Amino acid sequence: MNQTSPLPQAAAERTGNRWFGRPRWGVAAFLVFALLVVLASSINTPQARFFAAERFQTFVTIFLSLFIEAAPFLIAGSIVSGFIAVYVNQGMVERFIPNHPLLAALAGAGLGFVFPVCECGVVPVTRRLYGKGMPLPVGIAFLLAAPVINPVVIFSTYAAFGWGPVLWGRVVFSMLVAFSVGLIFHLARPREILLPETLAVSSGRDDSGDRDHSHDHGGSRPGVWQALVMAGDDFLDMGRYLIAGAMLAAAMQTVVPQSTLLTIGQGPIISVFVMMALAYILSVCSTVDAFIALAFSNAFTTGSLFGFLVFGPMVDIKSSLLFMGVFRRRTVLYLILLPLALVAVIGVFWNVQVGV
Amino acid sequence: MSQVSVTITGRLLRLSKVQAALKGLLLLGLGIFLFTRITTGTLNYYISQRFDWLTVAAVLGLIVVGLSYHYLLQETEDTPAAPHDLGPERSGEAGSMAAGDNYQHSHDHSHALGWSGLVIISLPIVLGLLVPPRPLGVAALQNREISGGGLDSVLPAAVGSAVVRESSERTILDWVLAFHQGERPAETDTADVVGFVYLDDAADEAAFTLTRFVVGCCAADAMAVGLPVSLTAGLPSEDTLEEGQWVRVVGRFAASAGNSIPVLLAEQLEAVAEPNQPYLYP
Repeated sequence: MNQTSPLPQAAAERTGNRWFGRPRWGVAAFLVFALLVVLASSINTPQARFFAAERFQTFVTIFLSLFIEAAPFLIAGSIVSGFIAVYVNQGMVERFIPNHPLLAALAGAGLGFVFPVCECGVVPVTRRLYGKGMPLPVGIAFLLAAPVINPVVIFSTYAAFGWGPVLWGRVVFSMLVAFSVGLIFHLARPREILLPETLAVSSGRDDSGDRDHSHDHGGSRPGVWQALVMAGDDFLDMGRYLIAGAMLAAAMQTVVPQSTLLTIGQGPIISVFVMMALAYILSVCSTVDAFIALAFSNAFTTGSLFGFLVFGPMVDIKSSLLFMGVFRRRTVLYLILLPLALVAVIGVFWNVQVGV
Repeated sequence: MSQVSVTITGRLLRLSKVQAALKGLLLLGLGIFLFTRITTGTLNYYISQRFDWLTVAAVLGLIVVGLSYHYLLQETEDTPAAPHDLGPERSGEAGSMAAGDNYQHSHDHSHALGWSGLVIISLPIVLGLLVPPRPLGVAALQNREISGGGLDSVLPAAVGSAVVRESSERTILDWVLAFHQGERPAETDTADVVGFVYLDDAADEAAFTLTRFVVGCCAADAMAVGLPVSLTAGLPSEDTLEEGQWVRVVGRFAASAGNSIPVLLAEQLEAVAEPNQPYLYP
């Protein structure tokens, strides 16, 4: 039943995706690459050429630094995901996740303490848990909250800012935004939200034993090897989004001057958006973004720091591309815009009403 | 004709044995690429020293995961490609590279690697091999500010170390932070600092800004810190200095009004090789 009905739709998806789907990101990454090559070669004066080449060098350094920094987290997340695939069955997920939507979204927002992952590692884990039948709100709340609601990030925020409004505000507001966005997705149907591939993992959900549920590359191999192969598949699936995202972020960093962005906005409202934009472009890991925020802490209000520290870990160039590997494009847009709106409201409210 | 060959390569790529071999090789390749960054000592051009162990872990993870495909290969030899064989409903897209990404089996999920995926995943390796590794330099300053006068960040750990450190052992970051803490240079303070030459943006009385990048996590979060340097008589003049060149400067600070970072009066200036650790860590 479950296996036959989604097929025509999936087929339609495939043809639709052929032009507008994920390969397009490959094209986008190539365009960025080509643009930079053209930029580097089309300039005539030796000095300009020197700088163009240097800029390309800078681009490569930043791109590789983002990749090298994120790769350990992505492979760790993929390995966790592979082991979940083999050793966690759907019954276990259903047993531990509360049924009530409020509780479920709350559980999702707090799940980061169980799986301490950052924004790169969280994506494969979420995708796998969706395959295991995790309800939509839980996964979305987990995806958005986990990069902040985990011991490592809380500690680094404490190290940077100490006990104070920035630390607890970051934790509370991240929970709040993740919880709210998760709840909004309570009414949606998984098929409209998730990519067929994400769901495909669970298409054999009538079988109770997950070990043999869907993977024809399972077979007689011991579970550990099976888990590792799945981890590799996950890493390669997600890795291409990470790489495309790192290229975009590096290109933006090489081209967009930070100072213009920072001098545009100082007002209580614009500053929040400027800091969110900066967080989106920089795409730095949530484990260290507190130290970067510290660099802006005197020039910017606490409200705009929340823009950086709450919105940045949820969504940035890198993670929005990673989302493309789990969700449909429209959902990815919602996952960017909903946190954006909520964090903007929180930041502006804080600047205007609390003003600390 | 070419379409036929595309179809053939498309089909070839779709074979489960080829898939398994490619994936395993890609993962191993990425692991080995990261490993070469460690062995050539260029890893810290990209990430902070304190995350080196993460890269070691990633190398191990990638290699173990990559090797696990070996088992998949052995198994597919026994049962040749049957589960991954193209079903009739998919044969139409066999020639399309794009479809490779969305390739989906009725009871499998789309982990197949298409051409675009293959290329994107190998980009770090390709770019890493084609473009010689270099740390961030002058070009990266084009769209960044040097935090000299304007550094508002005061990292607690760094301040602690700056206070303890002997003046001659202080880095550019230590000095900048100390001046921001309100410390004024004492007569006896001798600065002995290494950085690269940046000719723009220097204060009027200074010849150049001695600059260093400060990295918290990876080069993507780099901030520049700098000390304005003026050259005393007898030293090579400003014109002979090349931008981006690494130099060691020994000298004392002038008392300067207004600007919170006093000018460093260079008494010795020598070109040095780029340090193994080009960045400073807070």
